[in-house]
Amino acid sequence: MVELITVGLTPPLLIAMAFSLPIFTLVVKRKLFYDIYALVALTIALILSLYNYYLVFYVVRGPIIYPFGGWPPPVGIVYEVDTLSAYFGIIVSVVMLLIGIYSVWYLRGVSGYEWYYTLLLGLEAGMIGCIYTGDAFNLFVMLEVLSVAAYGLVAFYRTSHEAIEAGIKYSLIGAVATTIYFIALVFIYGAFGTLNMADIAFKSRTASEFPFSGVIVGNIHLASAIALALSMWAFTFKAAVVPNHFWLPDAHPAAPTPISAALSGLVVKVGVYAIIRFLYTIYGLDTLQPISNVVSIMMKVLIVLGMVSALIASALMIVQTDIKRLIAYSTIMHVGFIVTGLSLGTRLGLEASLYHTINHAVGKALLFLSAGVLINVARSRNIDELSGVGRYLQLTTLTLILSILSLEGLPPLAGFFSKLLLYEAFISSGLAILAVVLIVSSAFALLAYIKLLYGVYFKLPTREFNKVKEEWVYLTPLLILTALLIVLGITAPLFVNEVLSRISEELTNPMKYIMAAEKVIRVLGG
Amino acid sequence: MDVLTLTVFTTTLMLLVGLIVLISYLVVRKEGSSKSGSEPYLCGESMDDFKAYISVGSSNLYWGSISAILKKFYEVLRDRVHTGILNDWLVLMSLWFFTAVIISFMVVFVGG
Repeated sequence: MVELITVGLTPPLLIAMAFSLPIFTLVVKRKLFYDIYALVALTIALILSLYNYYLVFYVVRGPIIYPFGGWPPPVGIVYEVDTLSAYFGIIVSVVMLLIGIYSVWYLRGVSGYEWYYTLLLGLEAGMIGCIYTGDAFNLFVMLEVLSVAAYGLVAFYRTSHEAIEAGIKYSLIGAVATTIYFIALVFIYGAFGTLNMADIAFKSRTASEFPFSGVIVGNIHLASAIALALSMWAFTFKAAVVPNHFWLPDAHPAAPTPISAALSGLVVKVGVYAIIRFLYTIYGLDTLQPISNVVSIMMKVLIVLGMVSALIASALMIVQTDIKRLIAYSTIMHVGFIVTGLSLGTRLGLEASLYHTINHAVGKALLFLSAGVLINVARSRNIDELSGVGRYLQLTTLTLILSILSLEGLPPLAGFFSKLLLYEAFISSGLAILAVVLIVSSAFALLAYIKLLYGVYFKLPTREFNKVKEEWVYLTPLLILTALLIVLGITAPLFVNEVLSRISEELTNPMKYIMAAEKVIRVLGG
Repeated sequence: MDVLTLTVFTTTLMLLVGLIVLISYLVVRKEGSSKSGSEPYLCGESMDDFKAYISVGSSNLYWGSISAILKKFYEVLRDRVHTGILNDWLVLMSLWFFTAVIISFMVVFVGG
């Protein structure tokens, strides 16, 4: 029973803490209170996520389910945490806590910190909700929770024209994307008679009766084909895959730096998660014909889009003058690699993509947060105006360099191993051209990173930065993230064998996910 | 009428209403109104950045290669694709949307 509570508790607790935070503004004015409040909430989320991970991987050794209100689906909503959800939950909660600690430093002297923390907690609630839910409609709801918080955070600097414009454009197209996903759900419900993920997964593979929701009620082939097309469009927007990436290079630089780290490191990964959930669990290559054909074709299209993303983004990285914009394009490139890997349809491709997901989340958060310190000191995002500032912030620059080296793929840092695994996956799938694109994109990105490092460290300072002093408040998350990059790198074989292979095994054979839900539904449905 | 047919019918109806509204707008809108939509936007790519500094800055490191070899490529990528204009984005995003829908229909009805 304890495991049920921890699964069901995490997103509602975060939402409750986010929504109750503004009430305190009526009586408490001290920033310290809100810093502690947010850190406590983020720490609780991390503890719960760690516990859920421990249960799924080592105790239950299978999915754990929480039915809200004790109602069986499709009447009630269930949260179902399998190895994939537990893995993504850990990534989100660890990085978000470190971003929270960094925010304590970042928000000094910034007004509106109470709204910042409200939205930050809302953002994490949305992300964890998307990851934990076992209901396709609840995924839509949680995507909205996540998106509304993200729109608000992008436009946090209300006096900045750029932030307002980026926020409006992001929210306009984001609303279109979630609406399109909603229409996809209408087709799914119209044909399957349910929105429970395990239920849909079962019916798309057998077309037979599932407990409580009964038999299929429409043409599941046509509905699934339309739903897959619409949902992939919506999820590629969330993941910022070309051509649905345009919002990202505007939104990420305009947002406060810790939010840029969260958006680049985590929010786009929710899109990646949803793509995996739809292409492997709900549907998959083992579904009935012609659904499996649609899945196969969608995967091929995503391979093309992923590689185009990598090439275009890496080419655009070279010509950037804004450090945050350069890093934002790097995110599009890495998401391109991840989406290409998972779309190969092989276990190796999945493992490589999942490995690159965590490495990119950690590396990109570190890069953004380190760059944020330099920006804060130089009071500019222009690489030329950051000239030599890194010389005054030795530790911060060291973490910046290590994050770049990891993202570029230098051993023994984590990024090297995931890129190597991606390379192997491409070659073993007989798609050598993808390996070439991986190398060419990385080479383009290297040119951009050299420009960045030359600007912030090797170039002589054009002005004095005498009163600069490094502080442990922001160094702590930077050093922890750096340590994570090293640990993830040197434990690569163990990590792949113990964690990633289990996730890829469950994803390519989703019966465990389906049967866990069926068991609970039989009990609840009577 | 079964649920799926009803869903397709309702969605098509919504599309028709949307098209009627769009056509009505196009018919009645005033001559001389903005067609490019570029004026209100601040974001997007700009080539002017290269001219901003007298000395060679880090942002100009690859200026030679870019202007000599990749000028056309970047002109298309920055000035035509990544304009920062919402209308331009929507055209490209719609292409992916309709491609996905058409592909899925073809697989179901023609076979894949």
